[in-house]
Amino acid sequence: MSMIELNRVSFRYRDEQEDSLCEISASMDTGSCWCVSGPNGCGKTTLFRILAGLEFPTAGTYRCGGEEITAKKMKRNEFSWNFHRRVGYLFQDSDTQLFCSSVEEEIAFGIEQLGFSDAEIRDKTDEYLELFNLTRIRKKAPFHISGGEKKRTALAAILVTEPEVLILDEPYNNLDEDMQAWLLEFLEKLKSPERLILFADHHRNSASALADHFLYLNKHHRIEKDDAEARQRVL
Amino acid sequence: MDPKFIRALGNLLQSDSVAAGSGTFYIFPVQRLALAVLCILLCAISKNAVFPVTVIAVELVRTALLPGDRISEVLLRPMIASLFTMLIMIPAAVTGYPSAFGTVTLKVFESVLVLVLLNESVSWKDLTGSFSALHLPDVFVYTLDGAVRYLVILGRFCTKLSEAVRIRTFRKTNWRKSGAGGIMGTVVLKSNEMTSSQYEAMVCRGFRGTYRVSPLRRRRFKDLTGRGKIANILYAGLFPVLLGFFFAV
Repeated sequence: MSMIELNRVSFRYRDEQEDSLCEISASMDTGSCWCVSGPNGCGKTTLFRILAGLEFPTAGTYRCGGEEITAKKMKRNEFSWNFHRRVGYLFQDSDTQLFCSSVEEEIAFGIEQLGFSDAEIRDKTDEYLELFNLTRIRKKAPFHISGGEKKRTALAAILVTEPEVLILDEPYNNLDEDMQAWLLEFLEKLKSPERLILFADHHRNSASALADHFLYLNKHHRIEKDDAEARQRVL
Repeated sequence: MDPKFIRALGNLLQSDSVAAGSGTFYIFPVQRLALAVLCILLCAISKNAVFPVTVIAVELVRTALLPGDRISEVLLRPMIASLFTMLIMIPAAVTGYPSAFGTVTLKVFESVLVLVLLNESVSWKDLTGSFSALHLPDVFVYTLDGAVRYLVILGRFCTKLSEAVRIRTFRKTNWRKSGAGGIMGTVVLKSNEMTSSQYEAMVCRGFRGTYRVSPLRRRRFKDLTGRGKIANILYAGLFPVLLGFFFAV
């Protein structure tokens, strides 16, 4: 059983005339790293939103860990909580993802929701602040920090809950070359047999270094090629 | 509305949100807030000018201890508020109540100065966080935090939009003013988009509908250093001093 299974998934936004995703099928296992690529507006973010349980297919099925993900099921708090515990999603725009009053609270939010004790929250927050080199700005409000720091904060806030599926929507956005190199190295370390990583990317070098599977969406919102052909297209 | 005004509003909100440091002599924000509220209340009910004048004197000494560039900024706001009060109170002065004119102006100056100095010494997030120490519901703190956050982010967004309008303006035309309407409209749409994004971000991190103020924000007395403990005890002593002085005058 694959961790993520998409079976002829199509999606259309309300009031839109055409589909944003057309009959997408894919099977993704833990221990793999997928690069989703394609031109602007091809539906990468829409696909990620479906995978993160924020949107639901208008046709086809999406299964995560063998369980079909539907709007009805996600309305149940317990189901939604269990799902989001396993799936971490890094938004394309970090500004919309950071909502707490300080960087440290941002990191603590996820583990608080998981029901960790106060002492554990403090310890784990300190650990991740250190890991992402955010200790110096821990008390700062997220809207007062730089783009790179925002990205690191958002990433730390997601990784602190140790999700099995990590979805990164254009993680290299707004990062300078040094930060991109750091992130690439970091993501490389994150690869593990227990984790599935998906990321959208336009940077060919980073895609080649990190991903072992490729999915190319064309401007008609369809998967254009199979894995081997998509690899050639992206690299 | 003039884009300059929007830009000024954006800058003001931005500067208001800057967090102040806590230092070794950390005073609990709830103490600072309580003392500020008590000062304002006692000033409001004082029957003569002795109490407000004394409080103003103390607050001015505190202002004098601030860095040079902050002093003018701190004093500007109470002075503007007092100026408006004076304008409003002119009829009282000319109809035979000059003392009311002076007392009300003094009270306004004192109240605004106390609040501005509170803002200087306590960051917004500590201030809103202090409400949880008063056992106000966490959702109340969350709403306040969210409001401040949106004011800053949308203020900054307004600034950027008005700058975009300004750099595309080559000569004085009417569309510049109609551009302000466009800015407002865009800000409303943006705020709507941000609200739904924030909810999604919270859900993605396991939010189940009940907000709890972060334990990282709750600072306990036993967590303080020796100096911090002494500073807080001394600060608590200001409450009976203030009350005693009020009843004495």
